[in-house]
Amino acid sequence: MKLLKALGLLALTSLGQALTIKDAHFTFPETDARGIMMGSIDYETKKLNQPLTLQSLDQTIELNFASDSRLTQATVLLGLPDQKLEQAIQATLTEKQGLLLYRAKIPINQLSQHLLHLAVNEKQLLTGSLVVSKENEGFLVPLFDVKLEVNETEFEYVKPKRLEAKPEIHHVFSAEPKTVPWSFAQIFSFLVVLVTFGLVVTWMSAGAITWDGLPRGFDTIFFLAFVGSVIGFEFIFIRYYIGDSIFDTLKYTFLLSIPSLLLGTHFLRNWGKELR
Amino acid sequence: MLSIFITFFLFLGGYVYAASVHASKTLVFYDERLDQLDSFSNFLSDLKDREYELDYYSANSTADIELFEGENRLYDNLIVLPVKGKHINKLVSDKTLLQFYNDGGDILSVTSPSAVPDSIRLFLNQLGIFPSPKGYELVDNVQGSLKIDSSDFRDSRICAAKYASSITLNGASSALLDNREQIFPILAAPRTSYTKATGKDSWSVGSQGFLATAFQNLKNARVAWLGSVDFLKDEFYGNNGNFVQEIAKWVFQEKNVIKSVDASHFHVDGTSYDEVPYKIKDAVIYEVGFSEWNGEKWVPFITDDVQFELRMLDPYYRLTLKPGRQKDEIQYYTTGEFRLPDHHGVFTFETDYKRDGFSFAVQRDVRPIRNLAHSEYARSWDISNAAVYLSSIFSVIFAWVIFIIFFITASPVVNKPMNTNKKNN
Repeated sequence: MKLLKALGLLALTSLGQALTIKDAHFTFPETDARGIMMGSIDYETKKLNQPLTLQSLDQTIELNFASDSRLTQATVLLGLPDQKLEQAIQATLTEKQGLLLYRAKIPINQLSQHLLHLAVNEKQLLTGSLVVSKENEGFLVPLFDVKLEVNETEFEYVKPKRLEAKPEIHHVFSAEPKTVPWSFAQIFSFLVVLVTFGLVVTWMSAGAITWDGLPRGFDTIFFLAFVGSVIGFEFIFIRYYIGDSIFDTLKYTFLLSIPSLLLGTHFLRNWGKELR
Repeated sequence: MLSIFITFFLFLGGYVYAASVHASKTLVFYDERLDQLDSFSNFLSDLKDREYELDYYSANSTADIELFEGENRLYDNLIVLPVKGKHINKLVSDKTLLQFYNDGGDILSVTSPSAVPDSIRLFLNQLGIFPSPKGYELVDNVQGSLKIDSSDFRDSRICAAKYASSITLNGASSALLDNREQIFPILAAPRTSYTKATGKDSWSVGSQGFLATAFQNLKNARVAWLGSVDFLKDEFYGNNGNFVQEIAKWVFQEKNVIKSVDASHFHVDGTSYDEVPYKIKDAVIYEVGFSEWNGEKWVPFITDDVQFELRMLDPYYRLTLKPGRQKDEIQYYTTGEFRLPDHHGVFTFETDYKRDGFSFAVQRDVRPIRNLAHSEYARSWDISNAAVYLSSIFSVIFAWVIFIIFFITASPVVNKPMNTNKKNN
């Protein structure tokens, strides 16, 4: 019984292997490229050594073959089987003088965008496999590779939306305003301070400062009050610059202005008399 | 005494085993002219073991099928086995199925080459699943019979690959799928297969056709479609049982159900937005927690692809979150410290976690980010360019005060009265 089963299986296998197609050849319509003859194809046929190289996406590959009997399936699978990515192109049947002629037309520009992206932009070889079958027999055989030597700019791939993590985005902040280095600014500040001290020193060395007119006695108090009020006003303005509100500034200015006017006027009147 | 009773009943309530994250009232719709319920006994008993409450409705029944009572859905799940005849289109129209699905009901649909009702097909078509019409059968003359290879399995995270390699089918139909992100292909047809129908072109050829696929809408309701009733039959259950139970667990929300909780954002020092509203360039931290339903309880959801977006129309930031602390059943993910953009406006703090096979978890919080107040810009003493102007101003003030002091204290030019008496000599 087991022997019978084994014989049956062997017979089925040999039947599957018996399916052969003939006169298989590739043509490249509307180009000067020569066709490639493959002859008979069965499940043992080896893939072409060289890939079919195309320079344009507008080219078409045609696989033509003949069969003695009508096939239930005649399909070219083109793509990347390792990546589970294949496109099926069914062959059309023409009967001519009793011959069954099959033709699978592969217009490259009608392949799926993903396949074209992998072939053009990532330079991957597409594998073409032929699946033929009759009732209860058939085979799948890798027949050829396709290489697309096409400029990447000729094909733009828009990846379809998928539920996956997207590339990270980081906000690019506006550039900070350009400023001079602190050391550079400090040199100039130092020069300004130096010039100011130079001015004072010049006044002193020119004999402009004698302290001869320094008020004496009771006038010293009015003198200090006058100078103090001038310094006080400067202090209020500096505080305003640092952050005091305008209302505080006005208030303090008003408060200081009262003693400043009284004491200043008194001092200047006395000082004027003395000068006379 | 009362508290003891309450505690006892709470304990009992917690102990009751319910596998699905939602209630499990399920309607099984079948046609006894095609298959007796007994032929699915293993599949159905597996469901019952997981506390599914099953109701049955035969397509030959004269009673009306009721999926809704008023606006309330009567069932949580619907299993539609192959049904023959046109009267099903009246019993359960594609609109009713769509209404059921949009209302959150989960549907497991099974068709076979001889039974693809129009209402089911139209419903699936609206999701982007196009099963072959009645009469089309998937055949594989090269292999002799339909043999599923591990290469036919699509990694959709719905079912482990090991369950797909042992699948055995006698007859099946295949479906073409739309290119939609909400469709999760599960099982492709073998490379050498094609769908055959007398006098008609093939519906699908090779792996462009699918034997099993799934769909999830934005409300997280799920649909799974199987192209063969053999997936469920006792006859093949030894080989197909694990696979189909994985599909059933997914479609009825027992697995791959996640939720996001406790999304929050705050200043780096821990101050909340309510205490100190955000202004541009503030350093802030965003964090969100995720949990997964494991069929019994919520557990921390561990992944590495949770992303946060800060959007105002377009995203200003899209950051992959890092795992942070874990608290009870929640795994927290955090952005770490990042600076808000230098644009003011109304921004959305968002995590929109949508991944193949998992329920969608979305958290959004809309908050305004204000511009700097006039007193918050850099002051002149912080700007190096201003140092020269500042030193000049203070030098002038200094020189002015010194000048006043010097001027007053300098030797006065005294115009003493001249002696105007004439000399009389």
